[in-house]
Amino acid sequence: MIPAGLSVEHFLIVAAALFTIGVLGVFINRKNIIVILMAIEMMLLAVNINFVAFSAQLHDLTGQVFVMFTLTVAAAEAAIGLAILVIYFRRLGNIEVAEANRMKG
Amino acid sequence: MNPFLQDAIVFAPELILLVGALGALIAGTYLQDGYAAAQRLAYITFAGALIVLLSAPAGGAVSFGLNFAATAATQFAKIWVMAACIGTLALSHHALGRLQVQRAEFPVLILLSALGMCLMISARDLLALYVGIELQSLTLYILAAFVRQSEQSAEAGLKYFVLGALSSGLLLYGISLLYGATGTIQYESLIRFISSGAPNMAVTLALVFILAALAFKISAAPFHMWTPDVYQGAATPITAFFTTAPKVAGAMVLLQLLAGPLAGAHAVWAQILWATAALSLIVGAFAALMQQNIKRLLAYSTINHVGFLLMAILAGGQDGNAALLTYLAIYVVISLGAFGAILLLQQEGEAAEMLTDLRGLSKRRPRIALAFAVLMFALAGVPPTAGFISKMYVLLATMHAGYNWLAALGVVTSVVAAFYYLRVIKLMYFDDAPVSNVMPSIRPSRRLTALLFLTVALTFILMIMPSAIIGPATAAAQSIGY
Repeated sequence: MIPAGLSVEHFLIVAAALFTIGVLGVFINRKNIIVILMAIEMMLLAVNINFVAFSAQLHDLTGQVFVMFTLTVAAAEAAIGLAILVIYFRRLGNIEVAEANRMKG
Repeated sequence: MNPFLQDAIVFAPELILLVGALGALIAGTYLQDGYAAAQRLAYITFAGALIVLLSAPAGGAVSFGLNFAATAATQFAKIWVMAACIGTLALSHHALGRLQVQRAEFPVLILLSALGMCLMISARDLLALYVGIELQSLTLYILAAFVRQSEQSAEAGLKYFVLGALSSGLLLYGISLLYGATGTIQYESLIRFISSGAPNMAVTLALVFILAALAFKISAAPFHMWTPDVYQGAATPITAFFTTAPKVAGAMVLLQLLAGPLAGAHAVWAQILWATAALSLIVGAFAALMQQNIKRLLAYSTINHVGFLLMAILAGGQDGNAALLTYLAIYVVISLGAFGAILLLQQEGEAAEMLTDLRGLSKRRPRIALAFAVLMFALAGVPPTAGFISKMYVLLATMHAGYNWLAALGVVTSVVAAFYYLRVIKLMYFDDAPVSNVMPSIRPSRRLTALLFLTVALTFILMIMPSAIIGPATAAAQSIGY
């Protein structure tokens, strides 16, 4: 149930804002890669807000089931991302975005 | 029959892959020579899945409450995914040994990613689709970073992961909007909501997000920026895998979404697809002209081929779908052959990293040079190779559907692309080798040689008897759409 005084649009606006900040975090971020991982996580969580809001609005459980799957996959994704980051750090000794340019062309 | 058993029969290839992957993981962990055991198990698993796929009565069986379908088209695509996986395993053995990464994880990851691709292809539900895409993508990220001691490989893995995760986020956002607009995530029910006529704003927005994400997964321009770096950084057999199997799965997902639940919004996605196809063709042809690295060159060549795949999807209908399936099958064969030639050269002690390394190759390795030249002609689409057949079918279907300008662009960019394919051949046959570049010949790998011979033979056989591939492709294409 969506609480009284709020409509589904309110939730959608929050989700859209979070999603946009996440996307911008990936592209505008010029410092380090951990921040990119955080931005990606934020995008996925924004999508979850969308799903839950729609689920409440439509009185349909599918959206909430989807959220469970998204959360699980996001955890797996973060684990793999951090593992790759560890490999990267061991090789190059830093995690600066600007340093990731061994290949060009 | 017991409904659970019925589901299991439809799901049999995936079950075999799953059991094989877990078995290979256990064998790889506990046995003395884990890599060899896992590798052997992977071959057996793929062969088993292939046999089931070839013998399965694909009468449009649906299981798990409409969420998973095995039709003639999905079986066809899965057969070529399996072929690409078996080819990758055959390619990988020596290269992994040379890079000192003969780990048991490799066959396991290939198996799991094949499972993900099969799930993607058969999904009839956006949740199943999402889970399949993620299973495939997550294993591909690991594979990109598989050569742990290489800086380039680590960087390739990182770039692929960041941009891939971003595209997954876009896909999810699109799915959530579609769910909000229609209240369902099942293909079957989505069709009813997205009927023809003016689609509403939410559906249009969802469509843009989903298309962008899928374009990303099949490296279509303008979402191709990760492709050259990842192709260059990953180990060569892994690049061969990236070039073949995920493209088959991605193109099939796109086709089945657009011809199925999203068919009603044709007016919206046709424009997007047109632009994406045109851009892929142009980027793939022109950006490759400046490349010096062979794998980067092949990356841009892939983008050009993806342009053709998108053209076939846009053309749609019986012709377009059959052309797409034909193109995918022939593309898998040719790409595996091209990477097989590079790996065979590397195994024999050639550098085969930059284009200049190929100078005078026809004198040093006449047979491999000949095979490589044939495959380059096939990638360019020059008769008498199978590459010509596949390109011609796509172009014909595109013109039948009324997209004459796009077909013309396809021809023009093919001519431009022919320049860089022919440059490879010129380097091999008409340029002199730099002095003191003669390597001792090592006994070539039998598996690699056999694979190279098979792909070269197929490029000719499929040109002489095109019906061998067009027949099954046309039959399979009939099961697409609702």
